[in-house]
Amino acid sequence: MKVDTIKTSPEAIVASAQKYFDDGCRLVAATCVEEGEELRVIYSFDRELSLENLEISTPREKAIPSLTGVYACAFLIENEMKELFGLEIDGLSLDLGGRMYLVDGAEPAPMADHNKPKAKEDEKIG
Amino acid sequence: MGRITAPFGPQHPVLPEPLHLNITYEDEKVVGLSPAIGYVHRGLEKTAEKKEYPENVFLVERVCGICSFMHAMTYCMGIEELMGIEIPPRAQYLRVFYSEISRLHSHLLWLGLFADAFGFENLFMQYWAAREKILDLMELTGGQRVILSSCAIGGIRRDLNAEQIDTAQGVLMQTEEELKRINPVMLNAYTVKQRTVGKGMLSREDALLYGAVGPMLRASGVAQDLRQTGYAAYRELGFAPVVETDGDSYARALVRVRETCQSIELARKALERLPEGEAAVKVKGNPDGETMQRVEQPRGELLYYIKGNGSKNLERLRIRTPTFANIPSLLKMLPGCEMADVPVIVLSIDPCISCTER
Amino acid sequence: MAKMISTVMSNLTHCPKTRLYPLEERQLPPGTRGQIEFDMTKCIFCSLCAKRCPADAITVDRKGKTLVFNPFRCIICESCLEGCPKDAISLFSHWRAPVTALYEQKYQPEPGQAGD
Ligand code: SF4
Ligand code: SF4
Repeated sequence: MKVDTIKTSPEAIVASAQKYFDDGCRLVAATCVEEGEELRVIYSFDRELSLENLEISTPREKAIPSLTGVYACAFLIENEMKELFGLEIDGLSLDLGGRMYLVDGAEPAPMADHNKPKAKEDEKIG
Repeated sequence: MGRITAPFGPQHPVLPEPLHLNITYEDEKVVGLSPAIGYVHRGLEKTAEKKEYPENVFLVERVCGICSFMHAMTYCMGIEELMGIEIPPRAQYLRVFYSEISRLHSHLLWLGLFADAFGFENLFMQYWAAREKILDLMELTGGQRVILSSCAIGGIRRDLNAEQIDTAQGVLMQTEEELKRINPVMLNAYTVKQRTVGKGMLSREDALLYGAVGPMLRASGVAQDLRQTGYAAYRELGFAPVVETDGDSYARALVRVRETCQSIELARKALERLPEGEAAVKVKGNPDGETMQRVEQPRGELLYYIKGNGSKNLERLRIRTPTFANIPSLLKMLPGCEMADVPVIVLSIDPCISCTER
Repeated sequence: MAKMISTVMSNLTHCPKTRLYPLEERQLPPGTRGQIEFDMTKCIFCSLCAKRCPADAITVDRKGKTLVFNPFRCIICESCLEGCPKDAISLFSHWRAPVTALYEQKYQPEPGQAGD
């Protein structure tokens, strides 16, 4: 079984989110899932109690644009993804600097450590 | 004018939860804030990948001490969907019953704490005394005061017998009477109104922009309650969300007061119509594929994303808890308010930080 | 005013809602998950309970026929009870008393047990 999603590209995500916002939809969550070398991000929107999902895939190194310009609430979700998966995000309105959950000296991107060689992790935040 | 930044929390007298906000004040006015949560981050999402999927039921129950049953239920609903398990109707109704008494105890806890936030100790005591009865009921039916552990994949582990149902009906009726006595104080007292009316305004538009959920959203005039989608037995029981339009702290208290009455009614209805039969089915196999489940918790919408790969371990479990969605709205509500109102406004979102940080 | 008098009167005539804890203990309803005990006359050291335990509170040595139970890791979830093929685990409705030092409980077959 798969979650129904509409695939888009990282470049188009802000415009698509804007469309949802204009329709009066609520941003529910963004879920980051590791798939091999790629990170898959599922944005979920609520339209009158039904869930609609947008999906993007991005290589780890590439930054994705932030939705904070459209939905103010996205900053917490994006900070979390950034911190736990080492996903780079462009244009965050309030950057907690990777110190939302983690303390100084913690291993960076703790959620992202399977499926990939250890050495790569060190380049990420922290 | 001098500005000063002072931490609010993680240990704060009015807040039992370790919420940490760095608030900038100018004289007595709040001018800015930045949330710095993370005090109780336990890495449960990662732990869940290491445990086997039936064991995770007990793990997710510990995401939150207050709405633990609903966490387990959402997780079980997700796994049941992945594995194509149809749970018996009796289990559906029991899930409603357990959810509603959880909601009831959570709202009573909040109403007490809210009263405490503006110094109304007496009301706090009264609400908590009423809540104690519900906790006893949970102990009688589920086996423990808060961590019920009565939900399992495939149904409900603890079936109720006729005697327990009778006791539960009695306790719920008593609580209803008790609340009829206490609620008017919360809603009509002059001091309460002075401290809550017009404090922490959140308009309908802002509620959507800041992604508020649950009672916050409903107090701002959006009639959204996931129970309307009719999961478990809510469809058969009939349900209409509680909505208020003022969008201030008082409206949020009012929504919760009305929801406690609604919860009692729903729990009693679920017990009255409880179908006969098995309460659980046997489960075989492993979950495969991915799913998203949403459930209405006392604090709002809870989302679980579960991804299995056909083995006993899950590939990814993502939990988006309601307080996580409600914290951004503080960014809107707090700036401009008085320092003395900060605890009331922060409490009005019903923060549950253990949930938020998982 | 009349309401207040009735509240005052009921507070005067009713006993307090609290209990003097160590002197007066509350009776837990039957079925409360208080603590678990192992019955070594029934156990066959199959280690099914250890496998099902979400808190890793049980370790079973199948060869050496010992079962070590850490009561302070146990979250009293009853999974082991459901998994045990011999009903060797039972649940008690009273809570473990507070202790000053952690310990583990070691179980070995009772002498004179019929064997496997
Ligand atoms: S499951 Fe029962 S019989 Fe098997 S080792 Fe555990 S206690 Fe002994
Ligand atoms: S009750 Fe639960 S936590 Fe305790 S030993 Fe049994 S399975 Fe483990």
